[in-house]
Amino acid sequence: MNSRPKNGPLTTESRPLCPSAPLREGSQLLGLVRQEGGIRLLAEPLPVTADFVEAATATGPAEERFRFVNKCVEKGCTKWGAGGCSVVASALERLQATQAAILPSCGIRPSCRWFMQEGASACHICPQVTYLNYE
Amino acid sequence: MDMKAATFTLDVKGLELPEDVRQEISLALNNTLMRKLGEINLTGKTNGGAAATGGNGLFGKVIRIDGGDWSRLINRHDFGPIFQRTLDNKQVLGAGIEQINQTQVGK
Repeated sequence: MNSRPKNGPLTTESRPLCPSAPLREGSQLLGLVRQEGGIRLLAEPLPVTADFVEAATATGPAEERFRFVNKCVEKGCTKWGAGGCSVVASALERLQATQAAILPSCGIRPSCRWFMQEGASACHICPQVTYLNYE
Repeated sequence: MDMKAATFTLDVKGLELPEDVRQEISLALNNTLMRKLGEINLTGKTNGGAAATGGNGLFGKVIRIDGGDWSRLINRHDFGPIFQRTLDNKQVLGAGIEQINQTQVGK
């Protein structure tokens, strides 16, 4: 596996986007964890406000209930390795991506690190991943 | 759980207001919407319950993976806005929630 993204263009943003980022400065809401399993994705990521952060973190880690997107910080992330993002690689190892021809609707695909790295397979397993917040 | 697209339209017929007042109300509505979004819990779990499951990292049909601790970030440019967009009423209320289909088979 190459250390650099191989799929998709690097778009207007200099950094690709991490589709499973913690709730930090600059994070945007990407989806909601649903009871039946998986993530209910927003058609477009939604900038979070101070009110949202206050409410979302009042009773526990917001990442338990939401998925956020932020810049991929590459070597600034402990999950970054020689092959790129190990999170999506791990998810692909543990899960069997659906073979549906139609990808889930997504507002960040052209800039998504996972898509750039793993292609369409990443899109199929993406809704099955939630961020595990140890903090 | 019956889920429908989150479409909100507020039309107060017959009420005319100055632009600054309409913007103020719009901002207040957005703030309320975002706060309520932040309170949403569709997981069916009580807060903190999901974290207590631990174990193999599987939570229902969701695979729970440590998304990675951010470290060694040397400047604020590592964070910061990812889109140059303004948060206005149209954008917030226009951001639909879409139902997706997925099947997970654990290996």
